[in-house]
Amino acid sequence: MNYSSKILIINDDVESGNAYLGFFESRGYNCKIYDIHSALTDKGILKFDLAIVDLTNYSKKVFQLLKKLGSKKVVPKDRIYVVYAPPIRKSCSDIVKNFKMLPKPMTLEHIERNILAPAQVFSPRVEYDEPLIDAVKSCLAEFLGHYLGEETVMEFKASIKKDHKLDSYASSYLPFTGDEVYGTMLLNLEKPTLHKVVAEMYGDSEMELSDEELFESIGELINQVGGMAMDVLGKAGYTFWIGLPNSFISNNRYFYHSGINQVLSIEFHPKDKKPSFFNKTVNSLEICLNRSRSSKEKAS
Amino acid sequence: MSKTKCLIVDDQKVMRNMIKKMLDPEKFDIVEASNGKEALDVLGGDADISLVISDINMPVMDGLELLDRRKELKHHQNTDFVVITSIRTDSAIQQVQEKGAAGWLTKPFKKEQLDEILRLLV
Repeated sequence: MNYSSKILIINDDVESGNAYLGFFESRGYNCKIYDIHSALTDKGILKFDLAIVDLTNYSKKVFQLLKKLGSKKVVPKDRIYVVYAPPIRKSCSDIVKNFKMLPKPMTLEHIERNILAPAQVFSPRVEYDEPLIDAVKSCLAEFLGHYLGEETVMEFKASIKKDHKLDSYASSYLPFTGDEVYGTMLLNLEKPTLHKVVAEMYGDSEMELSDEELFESIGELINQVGGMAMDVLGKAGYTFWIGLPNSFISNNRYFYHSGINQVLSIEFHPKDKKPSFFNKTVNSLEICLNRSRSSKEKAS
Repeated sequence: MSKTKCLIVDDQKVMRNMIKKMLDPEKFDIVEASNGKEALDVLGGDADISLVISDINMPVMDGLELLDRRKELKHHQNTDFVVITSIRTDSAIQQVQEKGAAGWLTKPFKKEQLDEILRLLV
């Protein structure tokens, strides 16, 4: 992928499509824009190096189109980027699992970072080593300690996520991008835990909160965790800036992180006895951290 | 004693409500905005606001741009500005200071921490 690459942009929203076109053309890419219907019916569609499909809705036509792009070799399968609104249902998840997924809202700069990454990456894996995992754990410990009390000692379990399924009640994610790393982090909370944390935010642990109030609040929580992570991971050598949070009801839905690396999941629950606000173990913070430049490239 | 008119700026309703709850209604009149642009409009139409409590990371216009742009408003060049943000890197704090904020707090925070800053300003 380089600046002379031919990009196929597929977008049903004229304003958004023109924003994509303006952005990538201004950077020297050779672009062509289609709406979904035209892309499906155009039999003479040319070959492109890469496609960015903006998934504004999950209609049958979109999935027909994604199949066409892959099967007719209009675009190499591994170069189809789907910008989507999370979460994704299971039925759709099976269709999109082979594409590179970019959760909305995502800035055009962030999209470019993703499409440039494979060509620039020296080593695509970010090593989820102990210092990095410890840094993420320390953010969570500080965050939870603030709201649940320092006496609630938390236990963390880090693992590489094997699928994209979500089991919690609500989730909120943040994109992040820096000179050397980019990716997404996702906070998953079960309802009693979310209720407890939000009530403590207001300083009233017995407070009644509607589902709407709970849902509105989880974005602020990932924002706070993201701010801490920016500081702690920055000191560990991963410098980045966080974007804006986006939240959704996650139960049994699917979320695809942006980037090509594996997803680190850190589950958390109280170490000793389990209070009522932790009735399962599906509270977790997921992070997909990708390197965009190698140390060799940086040195040169 | 006259009340201090305070503008709370945060894109997250839960944070605006939380800060509002922390401020003594006997001492403060509260107005709200959900991003920097909305805050500028509110400030432009209200010369009585003497305190702004604002987040940084917001859509449309962020808190750092708001800090700069409020200097364009005749009545708010010296309005006290407190930044409350989840971003706590040294470079972000330095920017906030350079742009003339009277104080800053990092999230999550406790009521006493906000009271301490406001005690010096109000």
